[in-house]
Amino acid sequence: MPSFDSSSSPFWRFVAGHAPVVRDWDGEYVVFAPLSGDTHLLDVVGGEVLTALQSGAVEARLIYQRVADLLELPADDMLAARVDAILDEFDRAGLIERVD
Amino acid sequence: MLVQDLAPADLGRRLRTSGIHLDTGAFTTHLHIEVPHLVAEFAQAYARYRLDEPPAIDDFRVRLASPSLLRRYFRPQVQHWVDGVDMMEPLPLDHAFPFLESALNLAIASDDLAPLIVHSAMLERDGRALVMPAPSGSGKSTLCAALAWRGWRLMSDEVTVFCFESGGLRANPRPVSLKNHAVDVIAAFEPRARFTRLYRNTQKGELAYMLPPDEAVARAGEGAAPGLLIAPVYRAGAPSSLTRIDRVQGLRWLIDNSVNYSSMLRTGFDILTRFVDRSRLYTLTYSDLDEAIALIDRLHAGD
Repeated sequence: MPSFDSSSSPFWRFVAGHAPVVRDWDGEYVVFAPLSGDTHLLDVVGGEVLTALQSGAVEARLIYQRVADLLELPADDMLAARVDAILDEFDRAGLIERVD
Repeated sequence: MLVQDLAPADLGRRLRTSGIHLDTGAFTTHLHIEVPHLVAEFAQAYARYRLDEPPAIDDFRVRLASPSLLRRYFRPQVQHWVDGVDMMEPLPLDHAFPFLESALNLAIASDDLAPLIVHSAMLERDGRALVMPAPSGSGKSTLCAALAWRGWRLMSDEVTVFCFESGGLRANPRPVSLKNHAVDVIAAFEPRARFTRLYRNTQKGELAYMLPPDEAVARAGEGAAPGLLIAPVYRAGAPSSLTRIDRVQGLRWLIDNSVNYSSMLRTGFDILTRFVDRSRLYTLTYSDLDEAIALIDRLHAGD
């Protein structure tokens, strides 16, 4: 169960050598995934999750916090679960990978 | 040299033997035609097109011929080959010209080395493009044909060709395919419009082609910068109206109508997102051509 209060959570980063190309269009994001060649459309939460990873590997709970702060959403476990679902989806799409 | 500069007998001989290198703007096609009556129809429709002489590098090779001598006398048919491959079932010989047009479209769509292509009409005014991506049956060709006689230069009825380097658009004006009653609509709309003969019982119904205005052919080498993207929808009896769409929706229109976006990978993404960034984006519902053109003209003028 994802939680804001966890002392540790997984780290995520872009797949090495295949950083996605992101365009922010007024809160909607279009993303090109180099590994699959697919183009994705993201809402503002997905876009902020992806933007959070642009500086390198980031721990999931810091992504929860960033999304909560930027979008002024309640920093609760529901948001953490939503961000985790997005991270899993990005993983399946070949956009990001977990750092073990 | 233009197609019309060749005497009919010389044109026919060249088409049968060495072929001609037909320059339609963005593309040059090495064209062979071995169907005698098609030569005359081709000569009429493509009279003002440039021949690439001496030839540079052809983009495609297209050949039309009867499938076999036997078949020629028993329910005659025509077959086409694009880059040496027969890509469609033969059609009745009487439909040779529509078949040629299909072959030229298919050559573009199936070329691995083609630039980024979106199935859409495209016109130009003051150096700015009006791109109209739409599926068949949306009234795109009728509106395109009408605009071509009201101050907009026809760049293409079928394909928008994106330049890799600049993201600008390249012209490829060819005869405009008009189906069923659209021929009568445009004939009534513009007395100067010239057409091929009517082809009945084709796969697309009754079909004729409007020949591009001479200026469009003469300026086939001139491109345009992004300007307007308008997705038209014909709806009988509906008042004409424009609705602004966001960039994501505009990009979706382009991707959904692109022939080869997925094979372009990052390049395709960059070209289309840049195009969307530089364009104003709308859908247009229309039933009256004059009304629709007035709306488009106002948009172009910046109202």
